[in-house]
Amino acid sequence: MDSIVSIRGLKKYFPVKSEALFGKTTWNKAIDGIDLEIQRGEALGVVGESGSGKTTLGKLILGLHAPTEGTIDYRGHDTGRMQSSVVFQDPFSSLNPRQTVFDIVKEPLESVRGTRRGQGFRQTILDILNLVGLSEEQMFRYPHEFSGGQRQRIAIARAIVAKPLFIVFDEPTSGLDVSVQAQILNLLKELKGNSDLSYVFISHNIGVVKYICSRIAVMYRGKIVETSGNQELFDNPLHPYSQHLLSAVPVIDETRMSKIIEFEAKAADEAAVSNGCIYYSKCPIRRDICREKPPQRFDATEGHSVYCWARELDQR
Amino acid sequence: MAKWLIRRFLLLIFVLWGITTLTFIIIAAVPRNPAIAMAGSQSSPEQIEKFNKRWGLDKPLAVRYYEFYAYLLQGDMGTSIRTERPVALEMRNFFPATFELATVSVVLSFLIGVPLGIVAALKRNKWPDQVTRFVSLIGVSTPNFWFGLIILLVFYYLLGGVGPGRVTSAAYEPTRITGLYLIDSLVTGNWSSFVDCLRHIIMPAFALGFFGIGIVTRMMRSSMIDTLSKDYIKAARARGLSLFRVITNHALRNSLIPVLTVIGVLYGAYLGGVIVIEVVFSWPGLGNFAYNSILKSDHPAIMGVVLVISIIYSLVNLVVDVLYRYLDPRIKF
Repeated sequence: MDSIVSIRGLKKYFPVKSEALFGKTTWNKAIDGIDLEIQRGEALGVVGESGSGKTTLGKLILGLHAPTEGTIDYRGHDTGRMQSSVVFQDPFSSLNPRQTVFDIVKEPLESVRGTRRGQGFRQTILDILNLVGLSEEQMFRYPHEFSGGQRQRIAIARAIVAKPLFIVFDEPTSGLDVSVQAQILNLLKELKGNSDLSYVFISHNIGVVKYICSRIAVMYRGKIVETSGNQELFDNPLHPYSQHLLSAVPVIDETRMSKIIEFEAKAADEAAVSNGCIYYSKCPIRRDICREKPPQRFDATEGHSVYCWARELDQR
Repeated sequence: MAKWLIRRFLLLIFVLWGITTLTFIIIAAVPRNPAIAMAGSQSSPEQIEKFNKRWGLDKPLAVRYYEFYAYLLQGDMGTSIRTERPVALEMRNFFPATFELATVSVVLSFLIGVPLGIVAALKRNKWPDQVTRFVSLIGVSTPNFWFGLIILLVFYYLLGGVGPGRVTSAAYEPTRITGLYLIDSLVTGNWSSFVDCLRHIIMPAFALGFFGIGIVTRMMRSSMIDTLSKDYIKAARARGLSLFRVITNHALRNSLIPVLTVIGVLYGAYLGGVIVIEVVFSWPGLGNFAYNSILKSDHPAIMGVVLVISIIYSLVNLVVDVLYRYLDPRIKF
């Protein structure tokens, strides 16, 4: 496996202006030091609660934000192929209302092939539309004539048509009806198949990520706390936050119901958090070292790394 | 679309009927006799009676109201009491000057306001935005007669540029085809005339258009900011489309709709509210004609001016509505 995107020490701070006239500007650390590789052909899931920086990470990878610090290296780019594309959550804002479906799907092709003439585009576009489940007679309609699920199909067609290296999906099913969600997820899984296209799949819904992704990164307050293969994470979550997150997934299984990990934030001074581990104040297995030093990456097994002192010290 | 157009035109007739009726009532209600205004306050009762008889002012109001429409349907707008020429002819003489001035002002508002708005939106809260917002605030809040006087003072009196009027002297007047000097001089290839007309129209057009520049800039800025926050813009950027192409292909047309509304209203306001600027700049247009007609209580002329301005205003708004359809396929008639 070769990596197509390599992220090193990535930080993104947003200024938060104080209400006071000469108030100090504080910083919202949306992304606070992330290392991550995106492999060719993998479906990488990014999960975390809202405000954990998932969407910001996606935008940084797409180049929609400039990083405050750190680097993102893009490799494996060949011409005639688009670097990246994106599918957003809200299918009502993500399509230009004054373009027909044909124009929407045509544009990525034009920018890749560098031509404005529609030579041979028609068949390509028709194929893609059929692939995502739209028909020929819908080709010259406008977005407002479609339902949310259909619009999301159009957005997906636009994202895949120019064969990008990777696609960022930012909560692509969260805005849809549950029945439609399943259709879209199946479509995404089908489209991925065994191709060398990479997915970065951002979601707060662990079930969705489990269904689509081969590898999962768990984010908490601007940091990645654990990365692991899909099955490994569900079988053997190492970081206490991952455990908490997974235990919150509703399962129709009475024996597991009781196992939801209840925890209360232990009264810890928040100041300690700024130096040590971000999860310190809530952590059920914290040690003294967690207060002083931020945890380093610890590879528990091949392809399963966690940022947790307790796990590292236990295994030594 | 055709059905919609027919409906709009039928509606237009009702609007025009309403406006002219209102104007007729207002003129009738104003206790001012054109005879006094024209013949002077020293004139004898016989003179006034003769005057009233000559201009049909002795007839009952209902008859005069009926006659106005009866003649209008035959294309006769009556005869101006002040100039003693047919009102229709006066309209043909004066309207092109106003139309030209208002059009140049609207074009200026659009050509300056839209790019300024785009720049301000792209550089939001940075210095280009602050400067632009300040300028547009001045544009919106400056009364245009005052601004016109300042322009005249600086560029004509102090700097010795071109003076008021449409042309420097009659020698520069182009051969009359449409009455729009800029077009007439271009068509006849009369370059010296074209340059002279252009130099003359810049000052009043800018004085008139400054308000529009301010408003268009503001509308464009806020509309553009709104559009740029949409996901299809981000998606286009994420695909690697350049900022320029994102703006020309996606953002511009979608943010032009509110601007277009403003432009339509502005155009109408310029055509109607051009009076002050035309008087300040001695511009021989409809505004000047209306001003003099009102001073002399020239009833047929006032009716004519109101009618023509109403027609133009309605037509401009009709065109704007048609353009909406082009800009936004969601809008259906």
